[in-house]
Amino acid sequence: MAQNNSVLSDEDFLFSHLADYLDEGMTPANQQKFDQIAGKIGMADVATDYGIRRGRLQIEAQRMFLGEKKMRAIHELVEDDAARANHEAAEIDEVGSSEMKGSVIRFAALAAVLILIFGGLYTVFKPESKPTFNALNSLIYEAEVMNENSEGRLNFPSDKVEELNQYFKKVPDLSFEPKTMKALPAEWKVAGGSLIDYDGAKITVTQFQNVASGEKQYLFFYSGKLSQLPKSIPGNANGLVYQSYASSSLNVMAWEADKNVVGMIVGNRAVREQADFALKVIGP
Amino acid sequence: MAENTARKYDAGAAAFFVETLCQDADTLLRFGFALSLSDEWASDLVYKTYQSILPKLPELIKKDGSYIRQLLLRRLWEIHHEESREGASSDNALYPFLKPLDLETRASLFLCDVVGLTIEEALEITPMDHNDLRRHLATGRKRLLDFRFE
Repeated sequence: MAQNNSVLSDEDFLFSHLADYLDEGMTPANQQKFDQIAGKIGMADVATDYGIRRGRLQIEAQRMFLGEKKMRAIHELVEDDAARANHEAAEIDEVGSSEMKGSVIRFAALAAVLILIFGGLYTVFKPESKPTFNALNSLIYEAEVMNENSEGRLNFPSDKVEELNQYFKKVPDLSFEPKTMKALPAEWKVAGGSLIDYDGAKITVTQFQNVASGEKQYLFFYSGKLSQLPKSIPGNANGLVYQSYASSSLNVMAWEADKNVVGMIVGNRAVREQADFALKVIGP
Repeated sequence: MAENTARKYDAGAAAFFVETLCQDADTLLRFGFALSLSDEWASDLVYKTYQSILPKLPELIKKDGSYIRQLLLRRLWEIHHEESREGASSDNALYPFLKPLDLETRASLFLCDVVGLTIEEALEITPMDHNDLRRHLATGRKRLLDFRFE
């Protein structure tokens, strides 16, 4: 459809281009016009205010979700009686399994103590061997630790994407070239980055923070292949092919960011949102 | 609400519907609320939207996620217009914010600022003139900047 911005009032132009301004998606001419209007009507900070308000609107919208009964009714549009029965049986199993969880947790705690004892003994007496890097478990752990308290854990605190890109480029002996971060979604900012060294496996991590809610999520890069991660059902977000995982508190979206480079987003957002985030920040 | 008639969908198509198409159910619900200002009618709109795309199920399997989401949002918009209704009250925190806005403004604001669509993508869902959509968006954003959620 043809664009004819000239018939928009200055105010309408300004307000309807706020998202483009925040996402740095404006043409130079529109950018200049935006700045002129914002200055003229004394609204130089309007984009920042808008970014915060938009974040709040999104949070309020996310409080709405379809109840289980309504969702079931939609599923029944395609499921036959047998499939429905399977679903119900699976749910009954789930209830049963939750009762078992208590016993399993107690057993796991006991097992963990034993593992610690024998693991400690093994560590002391085992022959020298090359340590292995379990990316999934290790990086979920790193994200959890940083979520709890990131103070002092970021080697390079910065709220500027370009500074972080430069920081990662200058890391010595990194066995891969970290992908450059581009534009951020308006509701997110960077908080800083770090290099994690697992005795041979070097990982870059960038911490992002939601402007409105303070929520954090993390972007890791390391040298490896997606196929080295456990199998999971692949997803596709506009060409970005990814695998998804979840811990008890965090979702994980991993993709092959480059040849022999794995990217991983870890946070609370749904996997599809993480994939959209990765597309925006890094590209396909 | 569900019809308990003989089903025509194989396991693959049914799984695609449940696991892929239904991922957008909450987004549709929120869009439905922005249009109808009613939780109940929003749920109805979501159900009717999914019901209406069933005949397209075999061809949708080949499509990507953004195409599917666009299609679902457009169908919901169309279904809302077939029987346009507007709630008179709601406990939803979005209600007092959205209520004073007209339908097109609510739709434009929701699609661009909540779903995150571009102007061009929003125009595919709510057919209107490009500048009209921008004007509605500007109106919605002015209210967003003035409004304080509880």
